[in-house]
Amino acid sequence: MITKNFLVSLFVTLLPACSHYKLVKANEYWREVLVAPNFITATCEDVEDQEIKKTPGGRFGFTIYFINERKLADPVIQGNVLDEEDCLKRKKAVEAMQRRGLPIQLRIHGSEDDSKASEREITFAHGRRFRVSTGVYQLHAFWNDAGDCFDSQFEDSKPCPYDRVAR
Amino acid sequence: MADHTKKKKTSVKAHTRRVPVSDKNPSGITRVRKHDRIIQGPRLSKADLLLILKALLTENFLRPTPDNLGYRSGTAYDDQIGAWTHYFNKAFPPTPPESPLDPDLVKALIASESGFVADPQKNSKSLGIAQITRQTLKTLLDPLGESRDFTFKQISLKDLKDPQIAIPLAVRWLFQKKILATKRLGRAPTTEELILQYKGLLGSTSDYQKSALGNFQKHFDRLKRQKKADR
Repeated sequence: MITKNFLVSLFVTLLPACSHYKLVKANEYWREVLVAPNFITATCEDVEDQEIKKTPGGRFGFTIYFINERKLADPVIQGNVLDEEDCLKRKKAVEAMQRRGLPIQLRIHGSEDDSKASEREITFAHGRRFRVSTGVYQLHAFWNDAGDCFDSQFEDSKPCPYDRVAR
Repeated sequence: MADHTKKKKTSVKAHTRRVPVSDKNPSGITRVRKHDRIIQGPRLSKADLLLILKALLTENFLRPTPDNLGYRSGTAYDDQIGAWTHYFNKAFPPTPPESPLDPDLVKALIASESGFVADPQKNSKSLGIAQITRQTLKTLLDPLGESRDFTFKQISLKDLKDPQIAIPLAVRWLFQKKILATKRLGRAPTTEELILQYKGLLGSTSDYQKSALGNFQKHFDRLKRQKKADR
């Protein structure tokens, strides 16, 4: 009997060979993409303005990069600046889902525009480097089929926020 | 409800003041010399904000473009955004050739900060629809602080989860950020510079700064395109 787990494993096994990326849903405002775990990376960047006094907890910008169908790294940002603790919470949530080995679904805000490759590159799993796209998306949520989920605003509260609040 | 915002000074004549009887003042009366008194700008409470909003909503003012930007509550706060932008444009009139604050700018900023979620992020250090920080609230409440020209009173962190409170504070804060950016740049800031100043990213050279600005611009451009199409 073909189980759901078997299908998921098959998908993961075949994903790098066929495609690491799939557009699941889209409208003129947002889209959902399914990405193989090795084709995602997350960063917490110190964005503290050196000319103003230090903020307790620091100021960090959270960005997820995923490789799109054009083999460019699309940046997906948390729209508001976070402190270090909240930023690392998001980064760790991405890394925990990557360790599961299941494809990660991202719900992101913004439409595909005339973005192109920038000069900047970013490193993914196994040291593979990809050029970063000039476009940008805003993060709604990310999740996998194992029930893990994280929402940009409601974090890891259950039930998965992307079901409860379709922003 | 006072509507003035310029810092005004008045002179107080020499006068006497009753004080507790002590060895130093056995008569219980002391003499106060002539001195200046700075008249503070308005200080609005939560109740004042609700009353003002009610009155503002009966007025004619420019509302943001009625596009939900793909968010469920994307048009829910258009009236409040328009009303408070209108109110603070009157309180802080622009110096020509500057333009008044654009309600679409406020709407795009809120979209980028919270996606119009009124009470986002558990245990967060930034609160409400406009993601106002504790430090910002403290400044906005301080009658002697940098925003003393127009402050607020009796507003708690919890109140920021109510958009009726958070939106006027955010618009007021944008005007303060405009003053700070003008001082820093030596000229009036552009729309983009004002947004970066609000987000605390004006002096940042990070990749995130560029992405955050690009994200705001996407929302703002969408509103502008839609406004053009609606005409």
